[in-house]
Amino acid sequence: MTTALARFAEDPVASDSAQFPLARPMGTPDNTDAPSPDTVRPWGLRGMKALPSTAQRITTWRYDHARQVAVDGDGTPLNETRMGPPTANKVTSNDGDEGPSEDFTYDFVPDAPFSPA
Amino acid sequence: MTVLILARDLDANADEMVSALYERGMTVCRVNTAWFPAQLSLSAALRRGRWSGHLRTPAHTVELEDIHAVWYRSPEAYQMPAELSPVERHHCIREAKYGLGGVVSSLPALWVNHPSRLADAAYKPVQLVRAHEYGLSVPETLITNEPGSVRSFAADGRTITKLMGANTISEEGHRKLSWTRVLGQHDLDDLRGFEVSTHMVQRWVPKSSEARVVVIDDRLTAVKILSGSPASYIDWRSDYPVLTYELIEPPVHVAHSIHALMRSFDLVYGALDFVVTPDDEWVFLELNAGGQYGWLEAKTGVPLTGYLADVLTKGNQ
Repeated sequence: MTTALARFAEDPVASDSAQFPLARPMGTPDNTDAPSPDTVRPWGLRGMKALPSTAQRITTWRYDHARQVAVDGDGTPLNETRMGPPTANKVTSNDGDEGPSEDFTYDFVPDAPFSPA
Repeated sequence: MTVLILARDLDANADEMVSALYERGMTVCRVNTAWFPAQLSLSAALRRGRWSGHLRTPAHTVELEDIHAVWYRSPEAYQMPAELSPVERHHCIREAKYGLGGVVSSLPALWVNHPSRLADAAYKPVQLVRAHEYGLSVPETLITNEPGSVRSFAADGRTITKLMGANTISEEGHRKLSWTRVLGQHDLDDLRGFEVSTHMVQRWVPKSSEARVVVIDDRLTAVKILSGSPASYIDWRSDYPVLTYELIEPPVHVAHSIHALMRSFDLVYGALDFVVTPDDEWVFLELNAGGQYGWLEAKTGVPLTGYLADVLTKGNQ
């Protein structure tokens, strides 16, 4: 790691990301790391549970740059078809819609060259 | 006049906002920063003290000087070419942050909300102090990485813990979530891993219901959230299907304090969470400057998208 990169990672209070915070990109592969042993794992993560499988996923869609909305495979805007109004369990948390986690996670932009949380 | 929407590609609320702004006759440019640099480019020149130029997407070009309002919804991280080395990639990300991010964040537009204000408001410890300063009741709170301190705090009454940052991580190939937890004796008996970071614990606040208050400029919409399961009684986010909703009016002094708190953070939009006690006292839990509102609009019929569209349409006039 270079000195410049370390500066970002080690900023203890307000990261540079927070100056223009960006969210976790949709489709980013999930981290495959296993949890550490209980002797090491942060106590605050004891309550972490896998995302409920009841969340609905939108499988066939694309972004229509001209109309500036997401559309289905036929080109119909999702908000006019089966997607319906936003609901809490639609799609998944932090993946672009209302999810079990109701608030956005902005501060994603990696300040250090390691996988994001 | 143009409204710039910074949002993900798949975002139902952003889709609705595009429609709402078109209905109001506005020019809209929706941008996801993840398109940079493959599908998004910037050219900005400093002229007479402000940035002049454009943002260009595959189908739209927006003149920076035409932007009079920005909805900072949930833009994603820049996506750099895969062939770059890690050092090169982070160089590009950093330069894009200060270059594209810097130009955009300097725009003299109405921001909902400005990213720097989002950053200011992101710290729950700051929120709690500020909320108290503006007259809101807040829970007794301890932030520590000392096991003895949390045991002592918990000995004085029912205690909960919740995360101060994101309540989600990516691990073992999938997403994991964490909700508010009531601490039991078994939690306090095994505090291994407590020292490695700070933790927030709070005194349990007796509740008859909870409330989410959505603030859009000077409009305040309060929704009572009633739990329908033991899990949702602890944290309503954990069991959405059993929740019921009801529009309510917060006490006048609470509404005044909410507006003062929002002004102090210079936020135009915010979603604030409260516990309403059996004595009808409103206890502030947190302020989500990027909090969701779409499902509340669907459940209550309050046209929150329209309220926000009106604010963006008016812009900085």
